[in-house]
Amino acid sequence: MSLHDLLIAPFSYEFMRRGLLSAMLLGVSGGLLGCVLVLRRLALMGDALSHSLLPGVAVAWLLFGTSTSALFFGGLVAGLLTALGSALLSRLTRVKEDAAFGSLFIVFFGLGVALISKLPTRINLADFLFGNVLGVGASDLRLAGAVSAGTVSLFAIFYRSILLETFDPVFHRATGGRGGLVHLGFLTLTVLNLVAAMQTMGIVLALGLFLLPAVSAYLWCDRFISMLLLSIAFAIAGSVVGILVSFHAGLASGAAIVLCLGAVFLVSVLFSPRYGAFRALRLGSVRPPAG
Amino acid sequence: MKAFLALAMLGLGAVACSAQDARERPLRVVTLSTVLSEIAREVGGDHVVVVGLVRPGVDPHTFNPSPADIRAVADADVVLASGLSLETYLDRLVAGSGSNARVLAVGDALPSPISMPGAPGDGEKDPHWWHSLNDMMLATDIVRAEFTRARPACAVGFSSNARAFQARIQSLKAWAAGEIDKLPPGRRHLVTSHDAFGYLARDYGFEVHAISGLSTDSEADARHLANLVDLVRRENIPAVFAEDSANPRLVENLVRETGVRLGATLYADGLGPVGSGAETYEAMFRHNVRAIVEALSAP
Repeated sequence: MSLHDLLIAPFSYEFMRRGLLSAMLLGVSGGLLGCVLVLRRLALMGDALSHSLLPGVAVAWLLFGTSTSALFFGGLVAGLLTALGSALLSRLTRVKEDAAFGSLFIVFFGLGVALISKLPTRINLADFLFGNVLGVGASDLRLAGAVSAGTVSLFAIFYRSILLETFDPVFHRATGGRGGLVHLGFLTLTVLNLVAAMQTMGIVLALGLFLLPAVSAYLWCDRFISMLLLSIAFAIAGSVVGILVSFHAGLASGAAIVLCLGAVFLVSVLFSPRYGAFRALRLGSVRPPAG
Repeated sequence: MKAFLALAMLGLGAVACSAQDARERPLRVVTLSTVLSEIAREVGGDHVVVVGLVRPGVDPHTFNPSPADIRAVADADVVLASGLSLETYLDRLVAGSGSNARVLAVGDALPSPISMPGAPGDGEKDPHWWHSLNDMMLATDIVRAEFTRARPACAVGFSSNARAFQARIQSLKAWAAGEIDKLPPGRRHLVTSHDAFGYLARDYGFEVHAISGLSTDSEADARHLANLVDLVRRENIPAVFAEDSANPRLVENLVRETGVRLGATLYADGLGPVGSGAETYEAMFRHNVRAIVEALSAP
């Protein structure tokens, strides 16, 4: 097999180009957001969020049928209520943000399951909720492009606030920063990206793109900016290699991309010169879980 | 004259059964497919009460029984399933309901199910048998035998009902053969969302090229989709088809990529809802055949 067959020929298909482009676009914004999620210990948020979308999608389906944009906004509203609701609860009450999130999402998920059991036909909502990277259409691509561009520009504009809020929220607030606002804005952006990613590319790939590149980058970098850039690079490289593996090996595409990103994570977590498992074992310095 | 005879026998059968069997309550039948509901109603007539758990438009591959469904199974005398591993939840559903009903997986009793290539040993079988009119007639007999076992007094009524239904399928068969004959052999390619039309293909000499596998659940890969794009171009396939209960996204991408026509939506996993024009078995089958012939014979 020539190099051309291996690397170029697969992209003579339009669906391959579209799929790769949408994975790369949302990989860039997901890679950025993922870094903040990892550093702020909100890594499980995406997982929880994917469940909380269900009631929004069910209500949208009841009111507007299977229109893609209606389902998108239904999911978005439910996701925002969960994310912003738990952020507010953690500030107004004793409950910490992760517990608030865990509680709200499971209530939303329960509500979704209840609503679906009342739908006139028990059609498979997951089918409409979660896309497939090979099924990306023109409107999906526009959505991914808009969301990605918006995310990257907001990151560039508010870079300093995000940096401060991520590493030292107390200092940020003391120096007059609008910490709460930055946090809510960040959560909104995350929900928007996740809903777009899940709908265009499916849940496995969406969650993988948000988390794996960021965690891997975290193992190599000490500076925030280099972590952001490496995370984006991992996301893009994983998308390209993964979709090629899917093409040549005949594997489900979303899963193939996630497995490539998983390989990067595995190598990083084992062999990272400063923070990897092997170094710790060699030096005999098993650190207590960072607290 | 034939029709008259059949009608007369139907009347006789019904009279005979109700006379001997007036005190017995109707047989309670729960089905897990819209097609089986229709067979049960046609064969059982007034002597059965049919409850269909999987409603039209619901994907039977991912069907999720509710408490009301489990209660219906608990009260049933007979449970009819499509079989051939379509209802992966069947054992749990029946065991969980504590039902003493007889469970009949109709597809498992068919003589020649399609085996899927590549499956080791016993092998996976294609569970979408209702797309074969011959198997549909055999299934009618299997259901008739089961009802007769449960209500021997109604045997005559059940067989005349079954024969009447089979006669209708027989005439559907003649019509379908005539329609499909309009398609030249070179045009008999069925590109669909999931692998549901193996039986139709076997009976009428089509080649099926499905985007995903036997279940709507299995995810397609890039290689496979690329092969389908090549195939559509190479064979000059004029149209591809989406299905009522499967996600149309990948089919739409195939259409966009190759410029092929999108045929009318096929009913792959059961009957359509009221008003769809596919709410009975015969209407569903006619709809599918018409959609296929119309789209594939276009220049």
